[in-house]
Amino acid sequence: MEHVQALFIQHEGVIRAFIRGLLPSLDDADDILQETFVTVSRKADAFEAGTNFVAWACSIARIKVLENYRVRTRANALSNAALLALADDAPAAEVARSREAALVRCIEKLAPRSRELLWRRYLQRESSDEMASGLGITPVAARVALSKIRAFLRDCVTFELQNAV
Amino acid sequence: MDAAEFNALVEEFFEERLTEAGAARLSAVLETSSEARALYWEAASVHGQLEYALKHTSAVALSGRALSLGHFMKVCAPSPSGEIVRLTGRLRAWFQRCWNKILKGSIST
Repeated sequence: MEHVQALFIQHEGVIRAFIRGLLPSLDDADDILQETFVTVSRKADAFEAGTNFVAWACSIARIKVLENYRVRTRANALSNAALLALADDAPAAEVARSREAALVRCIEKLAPRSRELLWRRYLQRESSDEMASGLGITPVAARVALSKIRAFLRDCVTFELQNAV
Repeated sequence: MDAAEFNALVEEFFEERLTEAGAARLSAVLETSSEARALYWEAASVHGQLEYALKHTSAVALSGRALSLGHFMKVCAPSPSGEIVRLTGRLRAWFQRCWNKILKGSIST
């Protein structure tokens, strides 16, 4: 069991990104990550050493995400078919790690105010109303700014990966 | 669906503001188009990895200024050598408060 738990911790960033790609709520994704860790630990004997651990853990996470969607309303919920297709097309672990490294470099290119917005949204988990209050802007402006920052980062990561030596 | 509409729906999904009609429309295109799924993952990877990337981004990246850990502690803690130990239990809240002040410019580094 300790061996798979160590692997889970080693690959946690990739597994978390996979879950958040299918389930945008940061808090729900954290719950699914914990449930996945518990299930992976319980099923440790089923994992064959030398096979793809991330793929195995993500297949468990995918089931947890689908279970989570079953109890939700249909607003902000993708169809099961869309979720399954997305899960099948999720970036491989090595691609995800390359993206993550590029993302760190791209964050360094942001203006301090943009970094503060990200800090509030992703580390302090503030709502758009809370971000707006803290920054002295409207909630709509906070969401638009956040959307533009993510678009910049997406394009920056793509550029970095295309131009990687 | 054009790129602008697709990106707008994906952003609404990340912000948990996607309507039932929007969810149905986004689902339909993701079910049928591998190109749309590839574009989706480009955006979703940013959303999914931002927290982790921010935590691992250096103090230089977060503040826009070169800060060594020692210098950061001197700025944030009134008495660096003793305060760091005393503050350990409340380190996270203290760190966030101090860091917010630095970001807002109310503490000079």
